[in-house]
Amino acid sequence: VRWIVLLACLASLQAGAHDADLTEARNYRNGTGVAVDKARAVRLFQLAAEAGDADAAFTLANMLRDGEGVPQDRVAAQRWLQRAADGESPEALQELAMAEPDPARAAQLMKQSAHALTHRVR
Amino acid sequence: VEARGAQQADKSFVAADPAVLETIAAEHAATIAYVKTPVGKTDFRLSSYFSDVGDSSALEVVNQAQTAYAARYVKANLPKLASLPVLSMTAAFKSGYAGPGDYTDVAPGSLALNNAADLYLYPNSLYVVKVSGAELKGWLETAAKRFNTIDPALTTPQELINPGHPSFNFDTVTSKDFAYRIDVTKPVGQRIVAMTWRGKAVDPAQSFLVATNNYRASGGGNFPGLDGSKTVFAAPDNNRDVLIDYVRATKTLTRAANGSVRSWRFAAVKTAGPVVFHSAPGKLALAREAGVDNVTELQADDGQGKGFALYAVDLSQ
Repeated sequence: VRWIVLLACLASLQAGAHDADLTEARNYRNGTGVAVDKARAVRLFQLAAEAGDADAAFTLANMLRDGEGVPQDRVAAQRWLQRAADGESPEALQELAMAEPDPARAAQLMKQSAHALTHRVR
Repeated sequence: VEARGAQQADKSFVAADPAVLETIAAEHAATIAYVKTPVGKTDFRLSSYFSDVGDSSALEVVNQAQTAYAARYVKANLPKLASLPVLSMTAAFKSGYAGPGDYTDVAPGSLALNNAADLYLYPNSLYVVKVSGAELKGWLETAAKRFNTIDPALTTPQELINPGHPSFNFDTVTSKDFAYRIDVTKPVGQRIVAMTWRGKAVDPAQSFLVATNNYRASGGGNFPGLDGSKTVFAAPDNNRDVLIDYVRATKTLTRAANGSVRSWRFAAVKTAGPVVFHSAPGKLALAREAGVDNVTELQADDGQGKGFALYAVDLSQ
């Protein structure tokens, strides 16, 4: 039980660190309290995404796909979208579902998206 | 323990086991009966065949349900925000992507749970964001990427719809308090004009609460500023359940109260040639019933082999 508590504490500490990084990334992207700096936002989203933040990975995928603050790179965008989905971002799973030509696979992804929503941490 | 997928390498599914089918027959029948449970009635047909040109008959009740839910929640739990206007955005999720049968279409009469799924396809949760007037305009500008840029001088037919921007990303408001025009002759980013709240031009600095879903609020479709940072609250309820509860409370939906408000129109422009779009054939009467009177059916078969008809929209009206 002690191990479980310790692991849970570590997980929440890590989630807290993610939150700080993600907030800063969003602030630079949207110019909230700081001057807009999209390139810096991309770097911060990437750091958070590399540390395992699925929401950061999803936004990074969007910015790469649309060439926002970074040269457009659809291949990298798709890779980060998949990583966001692997990390149970409900929106990334939905994005994959809506682009999926196979209806059975699409339904499965949508189900995973709905499930991920039920245990989202933020 | 062994686990195997029901789907095989060639994407086909394993055959159903008759013993299992028999065991679950009663549950299956009960499920079918359940999804046909009536939740209310409607005196008009709610369809999305002409959502792209202003028919809000399948959208308004969704926006009404979301607005009512958000306003109630804010009043009870976020009193500091209670003075802000509450709007709602939704989109036609079914807009012919998979063929002419792939539209929302709910017949007048009893409205059941499966109809609610037709009206709200995705298992999203209701999220509310706080945005400025400028951000609201940016949202609608991104939604308006649904349209190609139309050259009024061209005499040849021009396609209205940009297929690269799916219908689920064409968010619109349907509120008698909010109005705007979409000028499709302008480039992306300059199309939303005459945006008003209660008859007054929207101040870029004024704040609005907008009810939407988790997909949009968290960055789906990459709408400007919507990446989770504007979310004021994430409801525990999904949008479809919010809709079902609203229909239950309303009992009977009527065209006048739930299917006729148009917050947006195209900015009037005379075009030298036709502006065309594709939808299921033979549906023109539905556009008329919804008050969309600037549409004509040019060809019952658009010649592209998928069963769509070719329609034209007169942007000067």
